[in-house]
Amino acid sequence: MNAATRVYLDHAATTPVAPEVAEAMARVLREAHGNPSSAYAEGRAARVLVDQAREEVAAALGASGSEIVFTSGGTEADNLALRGTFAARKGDADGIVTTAVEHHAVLDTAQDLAERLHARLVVLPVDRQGRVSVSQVTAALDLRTVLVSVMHGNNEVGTLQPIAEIGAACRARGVTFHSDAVQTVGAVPFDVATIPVDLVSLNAHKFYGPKGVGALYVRRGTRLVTLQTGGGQERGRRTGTENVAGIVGLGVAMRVAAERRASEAERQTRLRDRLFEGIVARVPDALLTGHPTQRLPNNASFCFPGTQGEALVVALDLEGFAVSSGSACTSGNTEPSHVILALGIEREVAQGSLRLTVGRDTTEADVEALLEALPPIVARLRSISAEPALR
Amino acid sequence: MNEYTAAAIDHFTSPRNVGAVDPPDGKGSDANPSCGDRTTITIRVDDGRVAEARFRTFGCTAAIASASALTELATGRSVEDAAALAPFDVLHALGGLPSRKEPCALMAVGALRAALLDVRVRTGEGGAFGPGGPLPPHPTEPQGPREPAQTKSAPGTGMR
Ligand SMILES: Cc1ncc(COP(=O)(O)O)c(C=O)c1O
Ligand code: FES
Repeated sequence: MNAATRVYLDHAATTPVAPEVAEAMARVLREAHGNPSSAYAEGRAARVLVDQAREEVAAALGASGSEIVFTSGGTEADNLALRGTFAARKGDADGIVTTAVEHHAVLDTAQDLAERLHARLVVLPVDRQGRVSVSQVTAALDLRTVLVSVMHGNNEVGTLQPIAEIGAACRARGVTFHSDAVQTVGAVPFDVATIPVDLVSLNAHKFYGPKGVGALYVRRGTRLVTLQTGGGQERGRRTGTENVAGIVGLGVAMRVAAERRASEAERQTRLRDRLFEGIVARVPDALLTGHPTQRLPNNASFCFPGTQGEALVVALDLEGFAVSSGSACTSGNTEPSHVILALGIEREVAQGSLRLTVGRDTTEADVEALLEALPPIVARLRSISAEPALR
Repeated sequence: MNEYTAAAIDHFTSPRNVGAVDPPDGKGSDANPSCGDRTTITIRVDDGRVAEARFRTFGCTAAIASASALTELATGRSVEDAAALAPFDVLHALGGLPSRKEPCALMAVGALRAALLDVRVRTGEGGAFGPGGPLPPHPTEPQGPREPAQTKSAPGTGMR
């Protein structure tokens, strides 16, 4: 199978680097070797590049440059948000509230804080569509709550959380609110002027930027303790010589994403809905996972009872399709995904999860090809497993 | 190793012996406790030999390929020889599995041994402690190294 015939439908795992981004990064690597902290011309040139990128990221979020802290990606941004906020707590404050469908970068960090630093952790359940309600969050808050962390768009099932309302509830009680928006920044509008959120995680490789670079938005006045100590870069909040090329790539990717957001969201929503409609029509007993409308424009996710996710992924790979089951970030793990289980889907059905995520490069022909290839694969795997006890 | 071999892919895409022997002389199931996936093997025994072995698997690529390869290995063997087939033989027939997927081969062997035990129970020969003597241990128990059994069919050529 040659690369030209591959169909990539796993944009939630990562996206290809946009040509504008690759070009800008290559130019930095070739031409701007200075350390942004150096006072001479080469250093100042690198500093200008980093600060331009900072302004671009800030502009796309409606923030100001000083509120952007560059990190090595989404995982680090989540860790800095949770650990940094917890470390900055005052008095007897010790409560963290999050949801059962967060990415491991949040969930495992919160659990680690509970185990090692005795944070009182509340992990809120979600409904069948993957949503947590504002009233659930409000009910979980008490006088000792330090932080609420609720993701914006779910990486597996695409469900969007009501973060503006949750943020307002947190603000009313003076509780810091973090949102992992790794899947949504670049895909749907995200404006910190209208969403009362204090900390926002994002990473470049989900919106056609490079891997290994991201940012944490830190609203002015939010208390945060650094995780690293060193030379004091990023206003001491994330010290270490900046990944200049990566940061420039992030800035360009952010600008391009903002320019294309409206038209791409509309186009990708059409492709996504075509996947829903086509799969429901062609695959018996297909179960849509996530919220039918409050979801990422590019995410179509399912469970096919009687099939197992890894087998689906391998079978589709053999036919030229790159897709994933459960979360790509924990591949190699054969346990059913914690997200699908949190929706209340039974274990065996959860094993047959499939996530299709379209992107800028996805065409209608790609979607039609998938709709041709998938039904016989599901039928074949079901014929292998079909035993009354298993169905 | 982190990719499936051509032989494993061939067993996955064109599995041999899918289904159930009806009525079976023996039927056995096993599950992979880490994921809950399952394999059931049914067999027909003729003259002390496994005349037919069929499987159903709810599981991953490795689980399906293993069950397919094992039913091939078992067919035509004496009941004793079939009961001695080990995970090692399955891995050998498949040209290996990605290392994190090796445990997935165990349940095929567990299901076959359970089916062979069921034959003895049904024929009144007794179960694990009957006159037929003890059965080999469950494949998850440690076993010494041994020579691979001969693969009867050529490994597949199904990589596409
Ligand atoms: C929602 C979410 N949060 C965090 C991450 C972690 O990002 P990274 O692996 O780039 O650090 C991911 C990506 O896999 C994600 O989808
Ligand atoms: S992952 Fe369940 S048997 Fe392989």
